[in-house]
Amino acid sequence: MTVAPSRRFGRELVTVILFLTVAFLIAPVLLTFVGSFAGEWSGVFPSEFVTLRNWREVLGLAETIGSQRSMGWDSLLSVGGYTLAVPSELLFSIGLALGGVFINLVVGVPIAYAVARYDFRWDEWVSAISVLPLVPGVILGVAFLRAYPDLSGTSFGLIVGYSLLKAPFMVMAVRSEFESMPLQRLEESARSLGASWPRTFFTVIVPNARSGIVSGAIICWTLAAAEFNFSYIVWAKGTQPLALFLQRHISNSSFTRAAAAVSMFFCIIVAVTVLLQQVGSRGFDPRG
Amino acid sequence: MARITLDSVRKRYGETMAVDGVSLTVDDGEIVGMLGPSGCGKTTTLRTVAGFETPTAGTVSFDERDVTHVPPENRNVGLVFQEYALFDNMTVRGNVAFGLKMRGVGKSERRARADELLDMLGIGEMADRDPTTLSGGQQQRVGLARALAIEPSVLLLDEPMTGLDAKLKARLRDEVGDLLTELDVTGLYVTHDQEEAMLMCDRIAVMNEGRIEQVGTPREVYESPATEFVSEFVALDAPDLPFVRW
Repeated sequence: MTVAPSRRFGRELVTVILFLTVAFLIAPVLLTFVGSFAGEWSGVFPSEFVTLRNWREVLGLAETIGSQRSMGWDSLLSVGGYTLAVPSELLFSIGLALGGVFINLVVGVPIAYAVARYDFRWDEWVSAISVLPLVPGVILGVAFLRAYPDLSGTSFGLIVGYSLLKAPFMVMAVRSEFESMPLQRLEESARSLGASWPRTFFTVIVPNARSGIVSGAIICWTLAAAEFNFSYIVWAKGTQPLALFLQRHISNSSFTRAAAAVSMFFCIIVAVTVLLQQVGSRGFDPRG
Repeated sequence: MARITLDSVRKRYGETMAVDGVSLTVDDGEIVGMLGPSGCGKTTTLRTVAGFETPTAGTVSFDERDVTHVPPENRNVGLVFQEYALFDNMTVRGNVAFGLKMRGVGKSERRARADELLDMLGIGEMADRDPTTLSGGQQQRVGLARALAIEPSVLLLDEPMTGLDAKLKARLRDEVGDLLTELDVTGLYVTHDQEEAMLMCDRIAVMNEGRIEQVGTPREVYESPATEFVSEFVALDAPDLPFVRW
């Protein structure tokens, strides 16, 4: 009996294609990471290894050329001549994006629930508006400055803007999670067992949707942290948002230093993703 | 357990009359089946008893108490669904103990009661498991244990065996039937499967287009159908049934 070639080679072929695709996508990230430890990067590959100078400059631990602002380091505590310092400005800009995520959790989860659970008169419209990636950051930024001149340049303005721009991703992620479970049945089971509506929502509905909520939060945070256009227009003074910090290090500095900035951004994204995932699974799981 | 009385219950959605004057009494310790095609109003009737629908007209009473406007969480009804609807954020034991927790029962007592019920349903060793790792039949047993844990006035079962395969259905039918009889549960059992209704229920109410066409024992409904609809619906490939409750 002959076996069809697609059956004989199909699996291997798919594996190879997948491997090549992943390699193609990951190669630049790896190269950038490696390059961030190089002293020189003029050709295709970086050279003059290994130096920590780029990282030190990006982290604001070394003197930089020109008048660029370094990251603010505040001393946390001093013990026997050693000072433990934290990059307070960096943490603050991570917090700006997290603030947007927080607003989206408070607002987006109930919207997703309402649209998934109930049929109401304008549900199609609410659904469409909430998942429409409303406007590009540039337009929202300009409109923001016009409408709320007092908010321009403030951290609160940035946080609100991030939440508005990224809300659709939260609503979409959480809504699809709600729609994949027997939402009405879960709610009715809990109610019949004696739980009031608020108790049902917080002890049954929200924890059952935790994977959607966690992935929504991760997507929102990543996109808010990388949102350049809106940040560029609205930010005026004080601590720079992460995207602007990145741009500053890419646009007027050496290739190797840009590589260090990008690598650091990448590390922060991985760290926050892991953090959100951990908080998500621990915070919701009564078994833990 | 309690006696359930529906008196001329009507439920209208806009132009559609989903339930059109249903009167029915389920005696204490009795299991009454609501049998009918999909869209006949049997699930709406069940949801009215549970308190998720307020009737447009008519009353629902548990014993002498009128519960027509009592919210579901204060009615003390047990619900078992076709979709199981287990809480995936809790263990099997956590699911069964949930109702007791809402009633302020202490932790050790909740645990003991949940374990007792799980043992009774033959899944005692699954207590610490995540419900998503259980088979369909096991999940449905958890659902049943969860509903029974609160010692409900009435147990409402909405197509509880529809998703299961024939062999498992037969086994669960026998076991659950025996258990409900043993516990002397008052129950309303909604199904579109006449065989299931005849084996599980003491009496059957055959519904069509929002009305009850006939109420009677399985034998009465099968042997002397009151209307043409009942005769067609019940006779439809009805096998030679060992009518356990005759």
